[in-house]
Amino acid sequence: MITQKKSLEPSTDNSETISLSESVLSYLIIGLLCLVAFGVYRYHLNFNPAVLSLEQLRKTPEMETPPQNKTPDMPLSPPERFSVFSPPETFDYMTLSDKINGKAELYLPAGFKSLFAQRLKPRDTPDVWYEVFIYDMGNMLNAFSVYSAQRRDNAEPESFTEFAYSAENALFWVHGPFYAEIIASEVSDNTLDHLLALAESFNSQNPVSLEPIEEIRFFPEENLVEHSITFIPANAFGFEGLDRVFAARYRLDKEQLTAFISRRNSIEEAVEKAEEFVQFLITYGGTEVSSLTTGEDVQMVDFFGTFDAVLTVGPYLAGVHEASSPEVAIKMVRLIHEKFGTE
Amino acid sequence: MKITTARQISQIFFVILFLWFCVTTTLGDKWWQLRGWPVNWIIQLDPLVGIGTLLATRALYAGLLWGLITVVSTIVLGRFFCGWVCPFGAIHQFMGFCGKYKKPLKDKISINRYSPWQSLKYFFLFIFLAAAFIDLSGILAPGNPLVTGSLQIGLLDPIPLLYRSVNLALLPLFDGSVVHLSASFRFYDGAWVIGVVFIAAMTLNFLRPRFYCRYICPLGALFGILSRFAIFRIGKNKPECSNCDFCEKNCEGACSPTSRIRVNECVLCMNCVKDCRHEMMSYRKYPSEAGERVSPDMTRRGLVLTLASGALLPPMFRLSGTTSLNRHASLVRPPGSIIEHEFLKRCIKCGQCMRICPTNVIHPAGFEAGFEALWTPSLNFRIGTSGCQHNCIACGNICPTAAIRPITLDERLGTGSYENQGPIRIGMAFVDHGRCLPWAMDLPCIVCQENCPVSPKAIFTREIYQSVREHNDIKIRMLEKNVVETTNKNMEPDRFATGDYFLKFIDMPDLSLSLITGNTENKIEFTGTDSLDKALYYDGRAEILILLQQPYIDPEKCIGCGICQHECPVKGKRAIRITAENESRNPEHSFLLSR
Amino acid sequence: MKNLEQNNTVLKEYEKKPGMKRREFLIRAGKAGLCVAAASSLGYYFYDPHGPAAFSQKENIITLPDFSLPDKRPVMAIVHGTGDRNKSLGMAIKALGGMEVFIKKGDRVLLKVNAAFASPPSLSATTHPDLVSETIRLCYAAGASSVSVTDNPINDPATCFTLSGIDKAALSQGARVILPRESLFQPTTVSGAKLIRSWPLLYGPFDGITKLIGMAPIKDHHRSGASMTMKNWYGLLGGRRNIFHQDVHGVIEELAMMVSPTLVILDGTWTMMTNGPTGGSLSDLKQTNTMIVSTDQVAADAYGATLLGKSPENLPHILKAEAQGVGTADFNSINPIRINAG
Repeated sequence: MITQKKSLEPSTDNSETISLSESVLSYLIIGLLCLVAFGVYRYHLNFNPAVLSLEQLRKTPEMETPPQNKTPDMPLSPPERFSVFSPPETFDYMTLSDKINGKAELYLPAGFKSLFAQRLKPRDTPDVWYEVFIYDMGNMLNAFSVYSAQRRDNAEPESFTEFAYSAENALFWVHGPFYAEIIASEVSDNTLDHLLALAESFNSQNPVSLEPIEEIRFFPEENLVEHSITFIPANAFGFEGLDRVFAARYRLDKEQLTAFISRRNSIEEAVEKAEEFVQFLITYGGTEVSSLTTGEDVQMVDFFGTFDAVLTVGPYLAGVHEASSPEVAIKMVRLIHEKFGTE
Repeated sequence: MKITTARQISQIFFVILFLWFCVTTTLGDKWWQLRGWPVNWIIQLDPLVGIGTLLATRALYAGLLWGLITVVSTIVLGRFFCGWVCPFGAIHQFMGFCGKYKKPLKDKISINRYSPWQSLKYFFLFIFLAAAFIDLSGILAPGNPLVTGSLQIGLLDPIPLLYRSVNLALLPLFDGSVVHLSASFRFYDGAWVIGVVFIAAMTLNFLRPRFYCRYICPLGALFGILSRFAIFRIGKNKPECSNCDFCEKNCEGACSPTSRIRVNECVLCMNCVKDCRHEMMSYRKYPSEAGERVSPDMTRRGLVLTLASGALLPPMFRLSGTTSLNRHASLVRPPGSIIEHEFLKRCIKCGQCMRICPTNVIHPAGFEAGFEALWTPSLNFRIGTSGCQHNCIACGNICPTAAIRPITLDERLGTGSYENQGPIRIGMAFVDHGRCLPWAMDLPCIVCQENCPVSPKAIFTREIYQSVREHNDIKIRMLEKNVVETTNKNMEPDRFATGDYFLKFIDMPDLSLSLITGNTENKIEFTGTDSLDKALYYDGRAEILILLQQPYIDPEKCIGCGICQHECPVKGKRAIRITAENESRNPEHSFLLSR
Repeated sequence: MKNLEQNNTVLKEYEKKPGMKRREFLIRAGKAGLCVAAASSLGYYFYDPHGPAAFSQKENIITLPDFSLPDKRPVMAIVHGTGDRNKSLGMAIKALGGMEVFIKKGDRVLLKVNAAFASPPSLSATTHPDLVSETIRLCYAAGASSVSVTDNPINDPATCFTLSGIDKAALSQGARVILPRESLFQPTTVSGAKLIRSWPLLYGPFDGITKLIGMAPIKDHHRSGASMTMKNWYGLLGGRRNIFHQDVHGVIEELAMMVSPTLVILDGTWTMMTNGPTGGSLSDLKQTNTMIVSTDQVAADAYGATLLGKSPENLPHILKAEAQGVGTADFNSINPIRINAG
């Protein structure tokens, strides 16, 4: 039986008898199958109406979620007294430099979101135009930082809002997350009038929650150089680890120095940061001043003749930068400490 | 690559494609759900569906035009579909392979011998075609209830049969446990028959390979007829050979390649080409040198007899009146179904609608609606996760033959351009007063009304107050402000605190009923009426009433969606049931004057 | 027994000769090509991308022709005083100028009778057979080439026509009774109607008809208040027409709009005063001995109402039909000829 079986079973190796046409045909057929698979895949992208109606139903009951941070297309629509002189322009992160060139470097790292710019003409003096710049900086601190960084000397503070000043031909102010500037093409008698009118118009059209900046009130008022409070978002005094620092210039005993306050996330972080700053100064050549002179809570470093001091009050880091003598530095620090106590 | 390898790849490809289509026939937009997958494509390629519906309805519906490609290719190439594409055939071939594995050569040869029984499938084909065509596609005797075509190809056509078997009998065995295509288990009433038929077809392959293909398949028969003039056919290269019969050991079609090959039975499996040791067999332009046959073993008389029998079947079925006066009340068809006598000309019993239905309410009908309606869709609202969802248009948009029309959501809901017509109604709900809790059992329940999806609701309630049996004559010992103390201590504490119970002072009938807020064994607390606010001693009788909201159906609004039936807490035989009254698809079944 | 296998043996011959082989191939290829062409053209010809419509669009929606006389003159004759229907009918017709005014030579006449119930003539629930036979006789006498009688009864048609005596009466005068069957119904829509839309109408008997006469007894009706000549047309509707009872006055109004007969004969000889439309007791009947013949069905019904002790105000369908312009409820305005048969 077995032998019989063996002789009946042929050798199954037929590979040499496959003709070319058979192979070609076979591969063509496989190719056709691939086409079919591809066709099926492509076809599956037109959804069956039953699936589409399912999706349609899912969407309609929900209200369209309003997009976050909707920057108004026209943050300023011209008040009555003004007519439009040029169409509104908007610029984002990529295109900001098209408008303000190198100055973009000030804004971009400070949280810049968008710029709205437009030229308007007052109806009573049509020869003049005013260009409005509204920078959306995302939050008030950012707006304040670019505002304070550019504050001109000889600036005339304006009272219509907390942080505002004017120049002969311009007005600069902070309004919530916005930093705004208006520049006049010519100076005339009613320039300031126009400037303030536009500013007030913008402010009222864009109501914001005005949160007072906390750190500012801890700066002692005496000896403060007016309107010198600035906000340094990062790299304060050359130290990478020092960010979110409010700095103000003081004139104490005929000497100038800078006081600074920074709110940290916790008491531990404030202490840590103080230590880091001191170490930073020492690493770059400073020498620590003994605590017998300064007092237990204050650390001071003599940095090539100028003196920096730090102390912590709760989560706040405070101190002095570039004081000309240790005495005046300690005095300033004490004043700050006092201020913290009273607030 | 050997041609047989290409064939195997092709068969596996189509089986996988078919299974993929079965999986994705799930309503949704994920990649493994329906999206736009052409899940009906294999049905559309099946020309028997196209020809059957064409003969019955005088129209070739949409995607069924694909069948033309198969027809043209078969006319040119022969029965390639059977050997290369048909997934059912591929499964049979595989089962047959298992069956003859390790069998001795002479057994393999003998089970592949041609049998005259292979003509049986031609008889099936002609019976079905005749049954579809008896009224000449609707031209002959319109309106006659007996002489109308009936499409029964779905019973034996392999593609609908395979879809039905996998979707209704096999897939549900795994769905809900091993895989999670559906949210829960899917049940199909009567699916066991479908499963048994499928298993039988599978196991018959152990008797003869490709049993179904050779003896039963009407599609194969159709291809056999179409391949009469095929340009290419399998044949011998020389008139005489050694008659070793090797070509027959794996011959799938049992077409006698060793002698006069039967072209109409050859499924182009190419196994003979591969197996022949003498290079005798090839796929060639010219007929086999050893001769060939192209016609089935059927006499002209036999053909005429078959056609006549087929033509007689539909009128005989219709004698039971199931498409007219004796229509089965519980046959509720899916929304978008066309009128019954047209429906039976289009439904191929593929089960796609049952598979896609997201709430699992569409089921294969049994014989209750007549033989013709076997395995056609019928709604069973007890099974499934809900009734027929108000916003769903899935079944019509998947039916390959438009027995259920592809409706839009507007047409379903009666909005937009369909506002005059109103929503599609598939039936009407009827409250069974003998079983409904507030009607028959003094139990509050308005689950049906709460779940009615139309707006305004088609179920409304009327309130009645019913006396609570053991407490319809309470003797009051003392009444003080908002508390009644009874002489008996037979009250179940807190029983009456549900907010449905009211206190009635029998001796003060003019006083409005007071809502009972709590009770102990002998005290009843209620929200006082003004005149009882003062503390007083009182000696009288009271009665506790239960407020029942009894449901009623508004026939002008009810669409028969069955959600109420599904939700009814009387789970055995539901106290509210849908029957096919007032269905939109047949104006004669309208319950009301159309406004 | 012609075996289809015969073809197969012939093929073997061609294999031997190479030239023949080629020829066989070409012939076969040609046949295959023809099949492909045939299949393709069939496929494209019958290709239907849209699928079936919501309702199976029935073929033609028919409308009944207008059978009224061209001059549209409303006339009415009322004969009182005799219980002999042949006599009162004859007198009424004569008063209107004779049957020749209405039926011309060669006319094919259809009589729409009330054979709704399988009741004996004595119950006055159906058109009286004497009236039927007399009308047929008069039609033939006037030159009609054929007269047929039809109705779609509520009960079983054959039984109704038999037990009411109408069948016998018709046959006795050589008229044909057309019993309703499914193939005689076709959908109709009454223009401007809300109810009778695509509704099966007993249209078959109207094939070739040139004149239509409606014949009805005066009956009380539980639902509509009265059943007279306008309601008589209900018997032309098929399908599940009882649904219209939900708006019975509306449907009667539309029936009156649907049918414009040549003549209506309203038989008030024995009026069914109560328990209509089936009646059942002779005490329901009152011998009012009146025969009304008119070309205006509204006027006829309005007058017939008086015999029931009702008025058009009680029978909204009369006023509705009048509002549609079918006729006038103020029968006096058309100057009916009143005859006292004595």
